[in-house]
Amino acid sequence: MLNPILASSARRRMRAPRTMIVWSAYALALLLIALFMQSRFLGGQVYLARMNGVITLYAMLVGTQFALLLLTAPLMTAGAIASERERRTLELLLVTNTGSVRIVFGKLMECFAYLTLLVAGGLPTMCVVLLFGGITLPEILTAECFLLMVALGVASIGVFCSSFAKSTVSAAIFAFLMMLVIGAASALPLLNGYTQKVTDVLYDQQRYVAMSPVEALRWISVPVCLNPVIGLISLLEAHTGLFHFLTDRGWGRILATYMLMDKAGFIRVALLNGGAVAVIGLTLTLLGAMIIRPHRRVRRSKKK
Amino acid sequence: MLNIEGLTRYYGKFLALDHLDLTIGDGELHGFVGPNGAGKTTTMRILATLLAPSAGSAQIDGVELIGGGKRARRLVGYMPDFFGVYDNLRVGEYLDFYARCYDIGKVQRQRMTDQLLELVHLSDKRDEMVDALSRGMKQRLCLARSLMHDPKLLILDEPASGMDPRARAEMKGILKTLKEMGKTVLISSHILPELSEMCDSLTILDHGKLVFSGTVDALAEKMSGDAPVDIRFTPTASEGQVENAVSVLRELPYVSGITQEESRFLRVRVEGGEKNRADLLCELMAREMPVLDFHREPMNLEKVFMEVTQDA
Repeated sequence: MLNPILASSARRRMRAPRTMIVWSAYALALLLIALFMQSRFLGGQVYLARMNGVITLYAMLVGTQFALLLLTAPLMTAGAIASERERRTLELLLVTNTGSVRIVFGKLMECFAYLTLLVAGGLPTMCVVLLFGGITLPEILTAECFLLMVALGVASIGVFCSSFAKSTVSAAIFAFLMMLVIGAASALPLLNGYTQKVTDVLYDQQRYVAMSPVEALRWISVPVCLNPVIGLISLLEAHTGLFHFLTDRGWGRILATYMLMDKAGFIRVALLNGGAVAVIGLTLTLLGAMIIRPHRRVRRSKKK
Repeated sequence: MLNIEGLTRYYGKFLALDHLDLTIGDGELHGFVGPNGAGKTTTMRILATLLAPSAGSAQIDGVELIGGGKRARRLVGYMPDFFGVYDNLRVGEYLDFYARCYDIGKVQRQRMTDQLLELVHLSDKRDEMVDALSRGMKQRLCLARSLMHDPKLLILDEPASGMDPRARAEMKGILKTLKEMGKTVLISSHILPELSEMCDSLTILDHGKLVFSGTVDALAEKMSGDAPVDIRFTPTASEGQVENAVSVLRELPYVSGITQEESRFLRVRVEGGEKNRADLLCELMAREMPVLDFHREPMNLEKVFMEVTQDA
């Protein structure tokens, strides 16, 4: 039987006029960017300039979707449990046979289904770049896959914060703060150099060439894999060369990370990054389910 | 049968419920009375498996409610004092949703929805949006929701709060039907005369402690045992006759107090019981006192409640 929370929440969401407005606004924003880029960069006759324009358009569309999802996903899921608590329907759910895990995951899956609809709404605009060449369909699909994994992870953070926050607004604030903290903390390894052993290997040409992608993946700092922004840069690295640009502009400390990611494969790192974010998010959701469970043991106070 | 033993709940250091022992028989409509903060809602939330007690146990037909999981939740229907609504959901869908949450199959879901909407007189509102219903209708819908899985015990926390007299009367009628259906109902309310009319038995709580538990008649009897006897003399009785009556009453060993409320009206406290009251009346008659009226003021539940909770 389909999760009743998922079915009912989806039905109510699709009946709300706001749902279609948000979806249309999302698709329209992407379309406007595409139209602007097309008139600005793709009207010229010079072939190389056109190629750059296509890549810029692609990067802009992926980046915009990434930013929109990072903004909308926590806002959408912040009310998942908190709004039930606000309208006092959470108790009514908790006295049924539906366990807290089913409630929380039902809410998450419903939000994720809507986020998938948003991303799917942006797909036709993304495919515009195929008309000009330079970007392939598998690349677009990989980017969409990465975006969905990040959306799942970020939505899960919203659900987790919603499980303990008293109101939707405070849940949204907690979710954004948590994202900020995770983002900042996971970027820290970029500022630190690798151990002597790793750098020795990286700067030894022969050993570097012989290094397998799996070995390179093993050496990349784990927190780097939890930062979706690094994942996005990695996803677009083959076309934009942003990482390479930063290492050339005095960000020497990230050179080792760059070399390891290059060896492991930027797309592979991006997908690993998205997957790790999703897994962390799902773990947090499970924690959220434990938080809302009603029958937690109560410590017995002593009479004074 | 609901059996509660030593149920205790602390909120931090505050003792909200203090070793509550209570037994409620099958098919009984049991009233839960007490001032705000007495522990009624805490008890109900514990029984509804929403709150863990600090100590104690509660069983329905031998099934442990505390930590009893799905098995316990199947036996209990809970209606809180506040009705939360979902927007963009129809009445029929609302009930269907909760039926799904109880893992009830499709055929049974439809049958139960029809039956319950009929029970709460909302059959004609099936396709209306839940948030467009009146407060009374929402309360009745919430009652239908709590009955969706056919529970043995129904816990109703202030079901008639905020309702107009008509809606209250309708709710009362539904509760009578539930009683006829053999449901055990635990109901809390501040409208005490209504509870005394409906309930078979009552529990009075104050500051988390059990003050009284028993039938409504037993409570009234218990309280009226201490009630004073009111004696009114005829309008033609002289002041001397009334003074004479007072001095006669003072000599009786079982009279513990006399108050002269008006010139021809005395309020007398009599210890002992029926026999002493009868003796007192015989004494007055033997001395040919012009007694017009001799009675005890009947105690209604409101008065009983005020007296009981005042002492606790």
